[in-house]
Amino acid sequence: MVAILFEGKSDNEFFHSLLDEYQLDKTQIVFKNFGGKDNLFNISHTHYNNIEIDITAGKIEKILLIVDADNETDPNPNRGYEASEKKLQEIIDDLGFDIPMDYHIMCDTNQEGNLESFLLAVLDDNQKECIQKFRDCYKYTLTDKWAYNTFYKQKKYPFDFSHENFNTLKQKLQDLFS
Amino acid sequence: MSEHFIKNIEIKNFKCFENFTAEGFGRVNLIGGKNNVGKTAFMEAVYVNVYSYKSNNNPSMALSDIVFDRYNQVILQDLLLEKGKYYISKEIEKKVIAFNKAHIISNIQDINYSYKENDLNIRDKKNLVKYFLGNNPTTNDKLEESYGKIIELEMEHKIDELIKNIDPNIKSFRIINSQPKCNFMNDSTFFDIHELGDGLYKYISILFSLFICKNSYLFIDEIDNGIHYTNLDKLWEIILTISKQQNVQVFATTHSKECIESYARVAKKLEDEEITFIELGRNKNNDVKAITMNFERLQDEIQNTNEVRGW
Repeated sequence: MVAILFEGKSDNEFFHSLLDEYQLDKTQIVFKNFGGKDNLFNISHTHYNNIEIDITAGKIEKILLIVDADNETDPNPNRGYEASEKKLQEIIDDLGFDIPMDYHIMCDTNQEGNLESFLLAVLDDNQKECIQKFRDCYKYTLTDKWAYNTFYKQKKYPFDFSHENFNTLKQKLQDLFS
Repeated sequence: MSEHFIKNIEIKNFKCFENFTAEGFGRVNLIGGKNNVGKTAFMEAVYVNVYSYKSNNNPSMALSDIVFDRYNQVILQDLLLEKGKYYISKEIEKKVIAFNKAHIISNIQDINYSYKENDLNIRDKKNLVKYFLGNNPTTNDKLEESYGKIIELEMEHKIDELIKNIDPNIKSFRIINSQPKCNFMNDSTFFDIHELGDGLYKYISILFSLFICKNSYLFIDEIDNGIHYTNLDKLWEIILTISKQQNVQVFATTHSKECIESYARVAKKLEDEEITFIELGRNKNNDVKAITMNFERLQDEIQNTNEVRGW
């Protein structure tokens, strides 16, 4: 079996939909919801102890870690694409699990943001323009998370899963099963 | 956790286990895994280990119980008719002898098995009662013996109440002329419980055993066999509640996801954290390995809809 490690509930829902779309066998995947990026970056987290037990028993054979890039402007040192990537590599080294481990960082095309930014970035041009107009019209900053959850979450992922932005992630998911 | 509870086990040269360890057991332990991974064998090893705890019984009797239980009942009847009881005893003895060199170590005792002549001829009935409810249905004799003890404990009305939990139409349970029978709310006629289905029979067997195995152990193979999924929560509620009251350590096996989900759900409802789920699987070298999940981990795995029925 393989494991997908992610930050929270919205990742869980998204990956279940995506795996269905790619017809990958979800029963062969162990999903680990860490409840936040900082938890996922904490190698003392209980989930990592359990994963180590599973690896020793021969249950888990590959791991894919998923985190949001977030924004560099955030005061937390592990925010932003580069800092997140550096921390992921550090985590993989520190864990020292003797199985293949890979990661994927969720972001928009400017390597910023989160899962919601990634999803908004694959909308068609009309939809993007519509959201932009709404944002221009509104006095305050609207986060991608808010925009996505307000306009699209109930639509059961009205996205084109064959969009090229999905390619890297699709490949990484397929590699888990190879 | 009680002093007599098994907390860990090491199994060597026993059935599919060459060098196997598992630890972190709770008061109630549900075991899952794919076919032929060794779920029942694991439970049998624990049974053999605890069998002689605080008693003079030898493990050969426990091995004889599990060998007997694995026989298909139809084949056994044919053998009895064709070859007789002595032949069967000898066959069982041969199989028991084959366990020589089995080594089963737990926190309560170390069983380094070696068969001795006449081991199977003496059974000390004064020891702690440890029941192994195997895949074959409990016999009427065993149920009658259990019911006698229920009466001694003055628990027959409590048993009636608990049976009503599963089927509210049932009024009472009695053993009449060695036959287990139930009657219904608006009818005084007693019906043979075999006529009412395997599920009820299994449920009653588990219920009796929980009371009889006070301060001891209970082993239940394929616990959900014959039990409708809508009754699983009720069954687990009874097992968790009574095992706690009676201080019984329970080991049970299942293949069913519904059964595991029900187990986790009821444990959460009762806030009973003295439970574990033991998942068995094989590593790349084909060795059997165990992952013992405590209450918290089991809840997490179920919430994330992860597969826990083996790998």
